[in-house]
Amino acid sequence: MGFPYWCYGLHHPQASFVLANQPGYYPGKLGKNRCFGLLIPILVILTLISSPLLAQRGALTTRQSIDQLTDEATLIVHGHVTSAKVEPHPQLTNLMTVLVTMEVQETLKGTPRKSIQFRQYIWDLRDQLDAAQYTKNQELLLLLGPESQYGLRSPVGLDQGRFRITHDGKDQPVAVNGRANAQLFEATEKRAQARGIKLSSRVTAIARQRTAGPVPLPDLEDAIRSFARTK
Amino acid sequence: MTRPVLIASCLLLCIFFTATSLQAGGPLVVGGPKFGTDAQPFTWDPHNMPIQYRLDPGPMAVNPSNATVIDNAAGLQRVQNMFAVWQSVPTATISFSNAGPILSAGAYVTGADVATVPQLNDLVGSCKSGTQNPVMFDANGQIMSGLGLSTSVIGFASGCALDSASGHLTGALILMNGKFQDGINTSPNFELTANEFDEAITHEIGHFLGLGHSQINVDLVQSQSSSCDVDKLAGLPLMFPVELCQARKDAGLPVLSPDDVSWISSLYPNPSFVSNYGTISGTIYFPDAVSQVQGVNVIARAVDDPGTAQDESRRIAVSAVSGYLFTGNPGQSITASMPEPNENNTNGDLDGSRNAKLIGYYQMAVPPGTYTIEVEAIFPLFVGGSGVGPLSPPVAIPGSPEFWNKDESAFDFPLARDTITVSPGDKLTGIDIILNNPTPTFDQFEDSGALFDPPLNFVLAAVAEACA
Repeated sequence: MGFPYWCYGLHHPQASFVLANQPGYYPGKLGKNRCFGLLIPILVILTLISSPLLAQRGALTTRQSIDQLTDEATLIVHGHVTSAKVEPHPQLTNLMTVLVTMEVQETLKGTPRKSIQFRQYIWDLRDQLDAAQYTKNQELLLLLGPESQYGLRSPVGLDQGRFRITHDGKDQPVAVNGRANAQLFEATEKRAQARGIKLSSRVTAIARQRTAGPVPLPDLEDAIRSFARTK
Repeated sequence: MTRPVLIASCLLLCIFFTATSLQAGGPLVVGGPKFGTDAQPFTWDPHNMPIQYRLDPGPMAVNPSNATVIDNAAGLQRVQNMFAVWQSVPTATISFSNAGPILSAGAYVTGADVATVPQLNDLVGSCKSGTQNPVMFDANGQIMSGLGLSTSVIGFASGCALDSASGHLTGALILMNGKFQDGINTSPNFELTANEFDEAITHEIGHFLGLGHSQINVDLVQSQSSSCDVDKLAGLPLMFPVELCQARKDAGLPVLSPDDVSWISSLYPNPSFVSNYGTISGTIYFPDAVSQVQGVNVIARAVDDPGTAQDESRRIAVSAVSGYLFTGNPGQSITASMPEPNENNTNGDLDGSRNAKLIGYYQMAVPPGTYTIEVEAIFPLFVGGSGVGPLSPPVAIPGSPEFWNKDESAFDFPLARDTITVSPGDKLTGIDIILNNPTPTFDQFEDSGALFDPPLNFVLAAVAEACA
């Protein structure tokens, strides 16, 4: 059996797109022993970053940090999608929607419940073809905005308030939103201080890292709870 | 050679040279064998210009007291300016005209401010029927709110109708959220500068015209500052999937990047296009130099001029995703996870060619100059609404990022590069890149290097064919 391609240079996409822009970058070959040592974690990273993530097509949104997303959300739940069905709005039949049902494992903000069902407006044909990428058994942390008078609601910030949960190399759950968590903690520490919120040392460390990518689910939930408590 | 080794070798060859079952910047929708024109992007009919839009007669933005902040006349002027950004591309044949106020549809009566979701519902219906292309101001964000959308949604474009026989777009609408222009900037009522807002909507107009997303200078994604390096911002497409930086205008840059201008000109070329652009095309290959790779971002960057303070290699760049004309979903019924009622995915997507020669093919138009060509992965988290190219999610590039050179092989030095000089009207073909990678195709890493066990009848047939 030959060595997988990524043994010969750390060119998984998230590394390569950055390195490729650096003058003099050369993805040098790694020794075989070192390669085996990296095999499992890299596999996990590759699996993680190549998993379908979440977004809604054809809209631009402003960036929101986790404290702003938490403030705007009226319901924050962690659970699994049990069904997603594309159908016209029952009354406003020119508007297409996806009806999502979730089994709730934990409610971080809002009235605790065992399951939720919400109807999200989708305006793009591609979202109509794949139910805006909600799939059965998908594990999500959803920060949902209020339901409108027409029975519609969406994740706050669209793909920003929609975190897919996967597991890292140590089988620990990690969360990433449709923007790769880019700028998710921007100025969060400063605003927390202004509101008298003491963030945990782990959340503070993440906020200071200033890099995109998955974050441990417990830390994200910790940050959300901190901001949800004080609203 | 012993018989088992011979058989094993034959089997490996069979596996390597069997057509790979790949899942798959430029156009948003590409025609397929039964959808539009095969391998041709869907565009508005260039012989039927101008594209007529109809404008909401209401104000563009009002404040929470319902006092007008931006009236209809000012809104109309800004909308015309946004359309003019695309219309003024000298090498493209696009024009727009304001056909007047939105026509009555259902309960919506012409002359009324579009302000409710039921009105929007009726106008979506008229757009779907190809009656009109409404451009609507959601002056206080009430429509967005009624749709259950976040306060952070600046606006959206929606393709309502297309002619699958001719391959033309025939209906689209735009809804813009005036709450970003109401003069109040407190969370969650965010404010954008006029330039930021207009550039966001101009991006949406790009989708309205049939443009997809492009990826150039993607390292800006990792920037934690919204004030971006101006050289990189200059090359950053307006059609980049996410909004990252300060407004281009605020940085003294034109609203469209060279990539935007190139692609809109490629989709809607006018006679001056050939005298202002040359094209570069080629195919991206796996290290076996036979199997094509879809979903790799190919960038032509101008060679930096050391005599200027600017970095032209970041500023002047055009990209294309390999296999952008090929379907991203060829179709299979085993692992389909499509929602009801589309669980049966046997025929795949309607869009995109099934011509196997296009799996790894790219083509891009560049202004005259000297360029390097490079490949990189699509940022792995550009999926769904942020997607770039035919694949969502994008695939990991089966090799390292590298430059094109004249002696392309699977063993060349990734930084070894040759330049290409492009003159007006040039059609430079065969700029192929063979990715560097010890495994020849995707098969080797799909299951971390373990080869799959093919069915016995497949093995016997393959051995018989290859070793006959």
